[in-house]
Amino acid sequence: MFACWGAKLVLGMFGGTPPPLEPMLIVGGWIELVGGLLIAVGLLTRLAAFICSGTMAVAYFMVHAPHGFFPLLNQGEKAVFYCWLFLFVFFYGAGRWSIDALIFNRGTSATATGT
Amino acid sequence: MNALNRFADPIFCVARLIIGLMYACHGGQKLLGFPPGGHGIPQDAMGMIGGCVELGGGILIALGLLARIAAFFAAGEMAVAYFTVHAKMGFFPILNHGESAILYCWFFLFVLFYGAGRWSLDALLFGRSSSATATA
Repeated sequence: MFACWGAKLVLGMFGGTPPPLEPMLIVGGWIELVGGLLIAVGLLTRLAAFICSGTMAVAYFMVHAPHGFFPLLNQGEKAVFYCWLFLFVFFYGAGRWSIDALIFNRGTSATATGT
Repeated sequence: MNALNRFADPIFCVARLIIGLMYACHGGQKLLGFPPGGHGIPQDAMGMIGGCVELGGGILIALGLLARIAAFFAAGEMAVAYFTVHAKMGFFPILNHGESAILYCWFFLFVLFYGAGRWSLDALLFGRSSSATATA
């Protein structure tokens, strides 16, 4: 779903407007598209999640925060949600069913290794 | 990178707090008119039940009190909301306005199986080893 936002921004899919002209939006779109796909398949997940989480934090504070305090009202609810979810993925790892787990070893995520 | 694992549980707890509060805001908007800007008090029974689940469940999840039970109901409600309201508006979640419902549904499903985490009332009341990371 996160990748869809990138596809909307960069590729114009899903009823998006033509590709944006501002460099911030182009960079954001590519991060959303590529990062979203990497997180979905679980490849280099922590790295991708770190960058995506940062993108969403920037998006929230630059775009949504000036519109009001409550995330429900300033349209930034999903940015907050994605930001925290990816921050958790960054610390948790990709989990058992992921390409990371296949390539590296089985015990990379927090639950598998125990803390 | 595995050294990051030890922070997974605290980050999960903060995320649970923030996301639970945002969810409670949806219920508050429906039932109490706060935060403002909702559609008013829902007229049908489904909307009222949904508002109660969102407000009560969101607060319980945010505090981490009976979090698994609250998350079960909240995730169930979001699944119903997606399929009864949003699914008929199109296939792609980004276009049928059901993206938030899916995010909440899966996050709460994860809470149901993961537990409330280390920083929660559940952990205070029932002992420290109630979440997946702690028991593994």
